[in-house]
Amino acid sequence: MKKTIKQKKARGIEQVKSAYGYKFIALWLIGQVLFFIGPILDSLQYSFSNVEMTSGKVETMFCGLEHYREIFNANPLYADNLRDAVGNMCTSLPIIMSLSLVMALILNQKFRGRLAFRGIFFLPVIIASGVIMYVLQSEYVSVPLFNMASGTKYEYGGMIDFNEILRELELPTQILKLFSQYLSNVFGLIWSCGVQIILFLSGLQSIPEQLYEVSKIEGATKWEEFWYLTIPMLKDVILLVLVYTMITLFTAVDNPVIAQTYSTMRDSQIYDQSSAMLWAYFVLVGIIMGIVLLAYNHFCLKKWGGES
Amino acid sequence: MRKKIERGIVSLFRYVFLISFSYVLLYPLLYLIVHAVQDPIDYLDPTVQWVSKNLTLDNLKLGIEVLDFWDSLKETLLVQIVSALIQVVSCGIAAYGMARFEFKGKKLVTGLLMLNILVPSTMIIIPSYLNFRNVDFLGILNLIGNATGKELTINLLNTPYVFYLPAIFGVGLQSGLVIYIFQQFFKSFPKELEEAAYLDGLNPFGTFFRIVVPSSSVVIITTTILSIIWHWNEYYLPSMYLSKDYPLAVKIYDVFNVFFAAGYNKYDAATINACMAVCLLFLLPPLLMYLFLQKKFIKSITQSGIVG
Repeated sequence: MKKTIKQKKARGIEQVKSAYGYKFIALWLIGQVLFFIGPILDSLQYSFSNVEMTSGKVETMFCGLEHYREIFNANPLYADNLRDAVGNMCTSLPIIMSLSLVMALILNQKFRGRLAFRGIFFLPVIIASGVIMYVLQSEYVSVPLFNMASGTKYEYGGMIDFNEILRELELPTQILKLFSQYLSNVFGLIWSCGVQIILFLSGLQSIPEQLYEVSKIEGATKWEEFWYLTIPMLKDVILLVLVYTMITLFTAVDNPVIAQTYSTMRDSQIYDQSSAMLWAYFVLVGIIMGIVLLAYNHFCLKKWGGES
Repeated sequence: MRKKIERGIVSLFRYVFLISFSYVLLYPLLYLIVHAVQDPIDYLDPTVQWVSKNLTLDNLKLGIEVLDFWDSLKETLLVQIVSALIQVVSCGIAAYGMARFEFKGKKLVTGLLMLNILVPSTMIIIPSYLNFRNVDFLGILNLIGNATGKELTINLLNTPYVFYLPAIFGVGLQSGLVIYIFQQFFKSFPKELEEAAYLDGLNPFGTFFRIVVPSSSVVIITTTILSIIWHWNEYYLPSMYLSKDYPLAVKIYDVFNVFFAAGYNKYDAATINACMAVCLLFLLPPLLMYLFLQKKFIKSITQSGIVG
């Protein structure tokens, strides 16, 4: 008899606590329904219907997959933009990941002027909003660094003409093209490393100092230490940075697909087709992220004995 | 001796690496500063690169006048910064609920949060735009309106509520990320403190506001700074929702066209110098905030346990 009462009471506390959980997130849940799930479902509906706007009211007529067929068959730019977006991700992702890891490793060391350099390297978080970048990249100003390898707009290309150096190397044109593409993006790539450096840095600082001492006593070289201690300890952070970088690359405003949908939406005011564009893109992004995450889980976590 | 040389080489490489990257990161800032205070004559002078011969503040005056700088600044502060602060509060509450309490459907909530971070705002912007244009509480107003033959729905476009409302419900700009950062912090917060508070008779809300909030200044600083910076720089949503009283970021984004609309030649040296001057002025507040809080910010960001 006594036991059942106790059990009941215990359950009661749990229930009270879970009720408080709901209370804490109640506002957020309402907001999700009103401002997030609702609009998403609306946009899904638009992509399958003909949308007409009459004096601010929306009329939708179901038309099946018509818009999806249209964007792939009739729209000359969309497929190209999709390819560019994915290609851009494939080339930028490894560079951003490794670059920010290297910078975080360096910034984590002890040396003179560390704080000043850390300050400079966090600058992108403050001003890489795109607003100022956009202004500086517009056709009216000639900022040499931005046009380093394109070399088409202005005759002088920064301090060193990288295109000239590349041409001197006499590499095959395909590789040359890739290199000069990287070079012209170098600026943007370095600028998009801000948050990633912070994430890596906080990950590095959470590795206990003792582990490094042990590895030193065991006689591990710096190289072994990096691959068998630092990287496995960073596996969660790497996953986080991977996901974050992919999201920012895929949803950036200067992403070709996003830019195209934005212009169809805002300038031409075609809402149904642009919704279809976005949903097709979103499905593709989901598939790619799924593949990358599965690959990461399969190859890397297994090797480092990860349990997540 | 050999070790000394080795160490010297390593630190040489480190500084070369750091300084070259810092150059890239500081470049646009230096460019803005140089051109902001430069006499337009010098802009056309090919012998002037970094050190101007004639300095002037006229650029700044012209820029402020053409852009209506102070009015826009007021808009930005009243609308964007206020919603940034609201967002921190609402997201903090929601994040605490998610991090501390067990309730049914928690996995669903976590999935929803991930979707929040993942879905680009382009996807929901058109439905949200239409929603804000005809605000209707679950279709009730529309029903009454149809019955009485009057237009009862409310148009919220061009009002600050377009930004306040999502912020209050924790679905504003980058809210997903803010909640995520909060959540990671609260998860690592020692439970014993809260349990002691429960024993002393505080309910969870009291515990949250009296015990948890005062001891989480680290994460609050981080999220507040990030939220303010994101809102300060946001031009995408305001340019959709507003057709007048733009915040600063929207005007800066389109700065050359603003000058063009005011009757200035976009390619004129005077225009370009004035544009650079207002860009610099736009960057100044976040930059100053950053400089003053740099030590705290870096420390808090690396300690706040963004990486769980």
